[in-house]
Amino acid sequence: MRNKLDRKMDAILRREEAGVRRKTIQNRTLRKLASNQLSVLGIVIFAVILVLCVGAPLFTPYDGISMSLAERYAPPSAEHWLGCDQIGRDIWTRILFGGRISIGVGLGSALIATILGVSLGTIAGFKGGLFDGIVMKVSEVMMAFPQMILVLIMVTITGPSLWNLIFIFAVTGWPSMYRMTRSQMLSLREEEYVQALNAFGISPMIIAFKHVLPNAIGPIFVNITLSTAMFILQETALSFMNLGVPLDQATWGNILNVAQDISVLKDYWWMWLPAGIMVTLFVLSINFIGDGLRDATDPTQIG
Amino acid sequence: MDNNTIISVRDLHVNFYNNDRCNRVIRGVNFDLKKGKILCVVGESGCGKSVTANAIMGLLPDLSRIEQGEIHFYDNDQDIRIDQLPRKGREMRKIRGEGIAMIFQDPMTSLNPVFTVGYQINEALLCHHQAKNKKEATGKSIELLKQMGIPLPEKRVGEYPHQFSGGMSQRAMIAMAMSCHPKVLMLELKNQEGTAILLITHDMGVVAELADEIAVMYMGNIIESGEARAVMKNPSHPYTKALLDSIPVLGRGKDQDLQPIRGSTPDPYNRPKGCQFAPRCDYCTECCTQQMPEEQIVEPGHMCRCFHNLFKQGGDA
Amino acid sequence: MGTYISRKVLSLIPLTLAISFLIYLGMELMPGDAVSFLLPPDALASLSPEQLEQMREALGLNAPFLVRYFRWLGGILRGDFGYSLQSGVPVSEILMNHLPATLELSIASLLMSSVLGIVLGMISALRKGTLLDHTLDVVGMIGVAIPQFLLGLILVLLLCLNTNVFPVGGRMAYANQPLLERLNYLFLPALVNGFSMTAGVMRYARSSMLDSMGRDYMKTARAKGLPEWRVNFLHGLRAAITPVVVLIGFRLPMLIGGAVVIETVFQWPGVGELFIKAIRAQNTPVVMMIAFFSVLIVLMSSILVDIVTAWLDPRIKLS
Repeated sequence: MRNKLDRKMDAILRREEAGVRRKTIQNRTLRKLASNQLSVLGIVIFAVILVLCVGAPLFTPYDGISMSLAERYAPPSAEHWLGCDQIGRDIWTRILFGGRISIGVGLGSALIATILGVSLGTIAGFKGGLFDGIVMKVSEVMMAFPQMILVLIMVTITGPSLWNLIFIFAVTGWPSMYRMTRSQMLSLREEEYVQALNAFGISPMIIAFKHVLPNAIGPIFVNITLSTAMFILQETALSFMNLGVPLDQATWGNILNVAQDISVLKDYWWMWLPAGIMVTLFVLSINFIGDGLRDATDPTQIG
Repeated sequence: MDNNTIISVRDLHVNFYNNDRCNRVIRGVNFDLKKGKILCVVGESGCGKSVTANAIMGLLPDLSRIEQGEIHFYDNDQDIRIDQLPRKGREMRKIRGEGIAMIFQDPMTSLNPVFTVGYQINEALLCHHQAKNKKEATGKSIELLKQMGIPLPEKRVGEYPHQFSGGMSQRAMIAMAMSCHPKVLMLELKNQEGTAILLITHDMGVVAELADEIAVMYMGNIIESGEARAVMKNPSHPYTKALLDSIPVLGRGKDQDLQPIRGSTPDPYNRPKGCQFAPRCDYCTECCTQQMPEEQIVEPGHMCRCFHNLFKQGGDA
Repeated sequence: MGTYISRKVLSLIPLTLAISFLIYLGMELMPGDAVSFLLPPDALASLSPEQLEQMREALGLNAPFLVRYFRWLGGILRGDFGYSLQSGVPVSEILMNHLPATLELSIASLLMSSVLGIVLGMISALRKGTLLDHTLDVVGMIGVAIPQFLLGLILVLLLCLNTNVFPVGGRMAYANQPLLERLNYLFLPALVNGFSMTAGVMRYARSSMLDSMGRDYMKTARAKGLPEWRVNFLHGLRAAITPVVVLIGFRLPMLIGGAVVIETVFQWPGVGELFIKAIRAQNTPVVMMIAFFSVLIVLMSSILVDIVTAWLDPRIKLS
């Protein structure tokens, strides 16, 4: 333990004496993000998967819809990199096209929830009063439900469909965003520059959104990554239980759905494992980015 | 070396290795601490006074170490080399608390909020076998708090730090530090009994009142040291003089001409080549920017590290 | 303490009422006839349309929405939760049948994730920057990123189908089975359900411990001459644990949500599995009652978190 530290210190001392200095990036947030190897890895994985899914037709000759009965349960081969499913659809293609929807649902609902929660939180936190009281009570009611239970009830009421799912995630996801923004606003509005702006007679809403909100951007971005990861995982779980996106549309969860069948689970690993790895990798990359962002935007950390 | 010396620091160098960089925090510090005396180490924050104290306590952070130099602790005619002891070893732990006690800057954060004050004083007593059991320890803790002038010590001993005011926490900290009758007390304000005290401060007013000896630190060096009266009367280093000029003196009225020291302390990763104070010094010349001046005796018991000895100049005029 | 709890419970009553109203609204919005919520299905089948209409009138189903809501609420307070549309059994009876299995699973996963999470997080903090720390970090990250049911499936494949270490699923009848047998069935579902929470607790415990280790009082403790283990375990951990306990309390709803999925994967006959079956069958009374109870559990656990926090941190007073 001691020796290891000593060696590390020797190395730094040697480098310092040789006058070797690493190049540094000027922007503090970017520099900290770049110095965090895991978040760089996260950004790379995120970008690769995103490009693969968005540009899906470029990376596969199939459309993921047409069936080929001759190739049912076909194992991975040169033509079908990850084999085919129980009705002969190319799995690699389905994963790419499924990613479009899964990522879209996750990112889309996280963004809508963010816009909702952040605007409500900014107004309520900055102004306080009756409006704040009402929104706070609504968020309390929503947060009393376990998220998964609330989502399932709403799925039962609206029926499962792609757009319903985005709507439900956004509706169940905004309260945490709202709470976070509100508490940020409550502390930021006490700052002196806000009083200075008030003294200039600038409209409170302009102060709130233009001058105060940008100071809370770090935690907001961290929260977006967390929500995106959570929604993607929830979409997968719902689709796995046939309660998410209808089965005719490929999503990562719908591909995994076949693993409910024990014989598929046991004998046809290519039908579910690659999709599972894809989801895990993608969520992992988002979490890496979120962690990096949290450290990079935290002003209490030196560096 | 006279036998009144308790702590002797010789040519101490300490480096910090945070953020993949090397920061030479202490750059050759020498001083002796004598029995029953108060030595004040003065300097702006970041000058290395706390690091010196931590090095003596063996409490340097993980990514830092003593590069060279010696720290002697004389305990009952034993010469203990603190710089060579394992930081977390048994001998070092025995010295902490029993040999040398330390009181940190902020009393409000120095006590653990989840334990009662009495529990935390008891811990020190039990750890150094000053009490046989919890009951005896609590009795002693109450006595210590009483000595420190804390009212209702029987009740206070069972209270938590957040129920104490800042001043009371400070006194509780002193009670804790004094509980095992240490030979040396290092603290960042106020004094007690016959123990030697290393007082670390940037408050010159306190220094004038309490110190037997003064050591002025700047950027990792002691740049002037000596008997308190000599240093206060004849500041020989431009920094010491500037420091004295920058503080108000009680009783001189409200129209004092206070002069802040110009500029700011240099970036520790990008230090000046010669004298560390050169960029801010009014007396700076060519040789100051080239090398750090050696220790010079300006009068008996008064050392200064400056090419432009103000004492001499003052004497000439 | 007693006054605090009663005051807190009183303050939660309006919230609970609001939620019960939403639940009732949800029941009205859901597909299905309201008469069917109130009668056992056998009785329902034998009725003609005219009789049904008479029943509606007699039962007050033609009364205004609010009146019906308050009647329903009164029934709940008397312990009358309605009937399952599938079996005609009272909902309260079904819930009581399924509750023990879910409690067993939840408590097992809660215990596992708290103890394991805190211990591993602390080791990680004390060994910061070592290989062990990085390994735990990566495993923890994967634990949070992998869909729980996928982890469950992989473990079922590896440990049950391929090697027969554990049974595939289900839960032994509660009575007359040796403990070890029952644990065999419990182990995998509890592990999977608690895994992501363990990872979360571990990461949080690590950062809380690191924060505590950087505080001044740790230096004071060392300066007193206390041995390292006492400094870390007593002073460090004791001060670091409060926020971790709060986090565990806040994560409890996720454990409940997770149980829904995990019980389905492992065919664990608990409330979660019942919930999914009821949703598939549009068995509204069962769905809504389970939802209502999950809310009650969340609200009660929030009170519990307050009490435990106040007990752990002397600076916090219950008032």
